[in-house]
Amino acid sequence: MALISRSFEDWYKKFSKEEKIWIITAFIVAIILATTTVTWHIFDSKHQVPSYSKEIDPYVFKEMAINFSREYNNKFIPPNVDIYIAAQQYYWSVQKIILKKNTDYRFYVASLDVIHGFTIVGNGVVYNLMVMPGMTYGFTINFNKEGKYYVICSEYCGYGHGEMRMIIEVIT
Amino acid sequence: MNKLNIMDLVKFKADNKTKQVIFANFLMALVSIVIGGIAAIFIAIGRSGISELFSLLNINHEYYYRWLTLHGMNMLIFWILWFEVALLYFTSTVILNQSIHGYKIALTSLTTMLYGQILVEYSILSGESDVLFTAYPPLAADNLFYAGYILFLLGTGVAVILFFVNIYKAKVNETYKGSLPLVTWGAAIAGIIAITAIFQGIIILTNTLAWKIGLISINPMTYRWFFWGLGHNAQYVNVVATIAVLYALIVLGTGFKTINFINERYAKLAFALVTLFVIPGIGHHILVDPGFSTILKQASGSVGSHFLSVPTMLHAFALLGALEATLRSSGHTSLLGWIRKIPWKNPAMATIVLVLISFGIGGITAQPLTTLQPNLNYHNTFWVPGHFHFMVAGGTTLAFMTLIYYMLPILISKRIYSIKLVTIQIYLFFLGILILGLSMIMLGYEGVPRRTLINSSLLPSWSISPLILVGGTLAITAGIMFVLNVLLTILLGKQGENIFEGFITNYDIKETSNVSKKGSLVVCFIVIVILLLIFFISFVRLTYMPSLY
Repeated sequence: MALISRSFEDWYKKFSKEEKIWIITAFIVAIILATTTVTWHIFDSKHQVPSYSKEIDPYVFKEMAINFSREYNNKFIPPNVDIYIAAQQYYWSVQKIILKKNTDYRFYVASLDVIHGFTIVGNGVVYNLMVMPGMTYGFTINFNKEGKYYVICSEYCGYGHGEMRMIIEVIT
Repeated sequence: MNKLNIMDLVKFKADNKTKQVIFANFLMALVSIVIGGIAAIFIAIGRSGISELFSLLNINHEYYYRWLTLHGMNMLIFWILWFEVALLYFTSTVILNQSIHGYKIALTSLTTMLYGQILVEYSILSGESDVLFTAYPPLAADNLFYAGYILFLLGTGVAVILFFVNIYKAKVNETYKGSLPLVTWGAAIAGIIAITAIFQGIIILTNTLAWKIGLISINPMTYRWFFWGLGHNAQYVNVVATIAVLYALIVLGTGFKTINFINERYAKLAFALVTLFVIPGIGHHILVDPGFSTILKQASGSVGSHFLSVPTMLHAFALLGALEATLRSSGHTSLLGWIRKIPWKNPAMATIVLVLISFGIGGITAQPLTTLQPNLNYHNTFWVPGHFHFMVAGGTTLAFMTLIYYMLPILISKRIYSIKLVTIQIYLFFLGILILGLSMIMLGYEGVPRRTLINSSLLPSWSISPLILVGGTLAITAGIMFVLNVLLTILLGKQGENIFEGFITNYDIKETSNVSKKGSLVVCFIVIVILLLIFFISFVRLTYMPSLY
């Protein structure tokens, strides 16, 4: 009984058959869940949390992002050009980029001030990544549907947090 | 032992000082939930996307994030910790049949927590600390914010230690015979986890304060890791405390008739498993962060967290099974027929069922979040608050509110003012959280970010936002009913013999051993099937997304 103390002999009972079944089931479920996520690395290496990240001086990264933006903002990005995006209160270093469908693009994202979130939404796609100051996050994306995608900030970064917006247009 | 009556609790030996301490912690919990509730109104309006209401109530970005900070701090830290401290005192004094040892220490802890809370509330309302509950640096809050946070945690830590001292004293003075009661056992597990949470919280917040003053530098990633050492462990304090409360409620609500249907060995094992799995599960907060290795994320974030769901599953069966066995032994023997015979008007029984449903939905929606790859789709979306509103509001808060209806009469020997209001409040609150949580989950699935006052017309699928206001309004109305009822009880409640009338359903128990719990097993299996389904669907969904690695 939950509210009153009982003697050891009184509460230390054998597990019933149902309890045994349930304990085993609970552990089996946990093992199924754990096995699935671990083996997913083998089954599908193209849908994984990016593993590349590298410490970087924010000033150095800012330079790279500005150079990229100067050349490619609002323009089509040829494949094999690396994309550098810096997050800052309250905007992304580029406003719009145009990408080709079914093509691998390499992104490098970092923050110049506080923590931000790099979130792609649109056309049924939702991807969320954290953007840290002093740390580049590198990942490869290959869009499989053309259309307009928005990049929004998903980690609170200040009053203008809801207004950070960038557009990715994917064309054939 | 079977003859014990719930009224005997009122006659337990705890003196008035003990009851005052518990009562004072209660009142502070009540104040916190009121402040958090007021903030919730503005947030619900903010997230509803109805812009006409914004200008009416002067909601702009600045105010929205201020209210959100206030809501998070009051609901997740103040309301819950004040209540848990009261619960720890209650389970280590009244239930162990003794008066509080260290009355002055308890008052010191109370004062420290109070000053801490005042500092935090002040610094939020002054507009200098719009950093939300997590306060990730380099986003900086006012010095007072960190100082208050630390003070509050220090006070809580003292209370937790006092709880263990009281258990020790009870053991030494032999105020109880045999082993610790199950609810105290659960509270002790919560206490152990609370120590680890408070320890990490104080370390990282002290460092953050030092960084704010300019003494040291701070790494945002280190902060996130340690902060979730506080946040994650504190959440498991909530889960364990909620389950302990449910074990208390199931016994109180049946007037101690569930005695032999809870297998304490099984329940205590499940409690112990939480302490085993809680620390290895911390990593699920940093699954999509740069700077942490994939192996750490996979091991701690995903695999560790999956095993953390085992003890909760075990408890769910124990509670539902005890309920089933009680009904079965009083004559409802078909496989699932007992479900219709659950005393829906009994506050304790209704709460147990509703909290289990809430935890069920919360547990199912947790799986995509805590699994490394699907987390890419759900991290920081509205799915996250959807999930934790089921855990913290529909689960913990609902259980705590109902326990107050049972503890308050014990503490002040008065009848709850209106039992009708109690029943309505419980269902209304659950309904509100259900609508709120499900709409958050659906919006999160479509990619609506959390913690953002965002234009809800960005994507066409984001247009169901007004449902949040509907759910929020219902839950807040229920919250007002709760506070009113408690205040009316304190001020106008009648004293008398039958202070628990209407709160207890009596059963004519015919059989006490070998009662089948088959029905609960079936229900639990159905939940498991849904859980696995949602889990695998989240992987299938991922394969349709653009490739990302």
